[in-house]
Amino acid sequence: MVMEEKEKESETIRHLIDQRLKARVAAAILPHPLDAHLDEDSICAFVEGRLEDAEAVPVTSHLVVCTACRQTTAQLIRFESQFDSQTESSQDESPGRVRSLLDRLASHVTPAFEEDVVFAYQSPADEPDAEPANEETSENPAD
Amino acid sequence: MKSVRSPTVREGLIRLLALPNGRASDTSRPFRNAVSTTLIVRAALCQYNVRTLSDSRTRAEIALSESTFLENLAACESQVDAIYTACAAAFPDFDLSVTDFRGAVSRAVNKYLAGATRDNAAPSTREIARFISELQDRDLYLALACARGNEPAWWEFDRKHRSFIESWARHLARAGTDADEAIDAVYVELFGTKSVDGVRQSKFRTYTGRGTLRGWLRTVILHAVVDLYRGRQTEISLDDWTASGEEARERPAWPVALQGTEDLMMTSLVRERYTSATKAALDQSLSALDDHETLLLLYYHVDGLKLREIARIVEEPRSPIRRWFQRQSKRRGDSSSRVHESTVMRWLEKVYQKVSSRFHAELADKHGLNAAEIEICKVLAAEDPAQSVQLETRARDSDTFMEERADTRQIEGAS
Repeated sequence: MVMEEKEKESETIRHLIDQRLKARVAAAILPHPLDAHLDEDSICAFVEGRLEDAEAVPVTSHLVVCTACRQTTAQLIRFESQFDSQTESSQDESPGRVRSLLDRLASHVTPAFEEDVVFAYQSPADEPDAEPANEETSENPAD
Repeated sequence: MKSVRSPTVREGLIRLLALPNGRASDTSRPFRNAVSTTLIVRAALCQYNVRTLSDSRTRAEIALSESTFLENLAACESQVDAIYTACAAAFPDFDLSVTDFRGAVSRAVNKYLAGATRDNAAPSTREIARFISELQDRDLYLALACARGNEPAWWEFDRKHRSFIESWARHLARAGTDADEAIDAVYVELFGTKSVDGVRQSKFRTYTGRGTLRGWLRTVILHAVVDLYRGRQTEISLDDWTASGEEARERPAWPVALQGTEDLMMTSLVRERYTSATKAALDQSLSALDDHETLLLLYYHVDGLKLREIARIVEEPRSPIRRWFQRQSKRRGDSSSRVHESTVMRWLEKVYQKVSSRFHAELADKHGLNAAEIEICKVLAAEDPAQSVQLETRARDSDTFMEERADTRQIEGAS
């Protein structure tokens, strides 16, 4: 009986905290101007657990008050857990996708009048038969 | 005679990336870095003109601290040079000067250690040496060379990280086309389209080597995906992103039966008094927590992280949250051992107890309520819709907590 009461008491406080925290976050007006957010470097160092205690103090304090930065860290943690289940075959080449990606990117950054220029450059990592034999159709791993 | 052939698009792009201002040149010009070291250093320093984190020291304190800092940093120069030598030997084509490398290390130390010590004193030589030894030096070397537009560096970056960038972007974006768009945006950002004093502002310049380049890329890509959806004015919710598999869980509303509350025939004045006392006491209790405790609560209740996900962030033995809770705990155990979900749950329960004790004390001492009135406060708070902001989304209700607790006990028993 005492245990039940304790459990109920514990549930009540959890619920109160849950509601109050959400209410406070939802009601909060942006506490920081946009340029005061943590940068990717700091977020990465924090999420990877590389900061020493003293280094982490301002970051932790920032995360407590800045919903945007905290959400970024939370998303990284969540997505990383999901992502880890898939292989990170970073060394595999996928020329088909790269070609289409770079096609689009090049169209953004290459001036139109230079589109037809012929390059004599030989890549150091050149692969003579790197042209796609078959287009890779990578499935969204999250699906 | 050297054979001349048409390059692949990829070769052409990397060649383009290697040029200092993103302009194609005639084919006979070698791919060398044309940006002067002076301009690079100046541009690199520009980004640190604005401090990200607050620094409340006075000017005199800062001047003294900076002078000591520079002395202590100079004492570590040989260590930096040794790292540089090793990196240069590993990547002889990157054409990065020792001056540039020293400058980057100096900025990293300044960013993370200046003002991070107790009393805002300058970091000691030992602290700086430790920090430097922990840098992801090869990643930093690669990023610096890429920022300078060095072509072999871009090839190396492309070879090592492209596949990861693509799969991570595909993991974050729900549609393949969105991922492609985000990847394009990331590459453009890494290359840098803005120019200051004639120097391209490559995103690589913001990488300090404190974390891994891959971890940094994860964050850059995440921001790119978020910006992409924001740009389309598409509402992004964590629920949408994580709706796959077992992550999607509908959490029912607060299940505790509030028997008898209908019988509480109180005037609105009395109700208001109890409600405001409850909120004030709860706010006071929450604000009395340490930042680490608050962050833990926010991750769990507001951001909807699961115990096992929080356990991941404290997996690293040096994680500040982990170390903080271990310092508070009497059961320290092995500081290098794995943190299980049960450990995170215990941390949470301790925070709940702390809030609960303070909450009761506040209501009793500051608001003069007796035990029965405190119970009424809690019942009212539980049924007060004004406090139930977005309760339907990721509510950490009793069932969820109990379920996760049962899971962690099973894990505990098995381990």
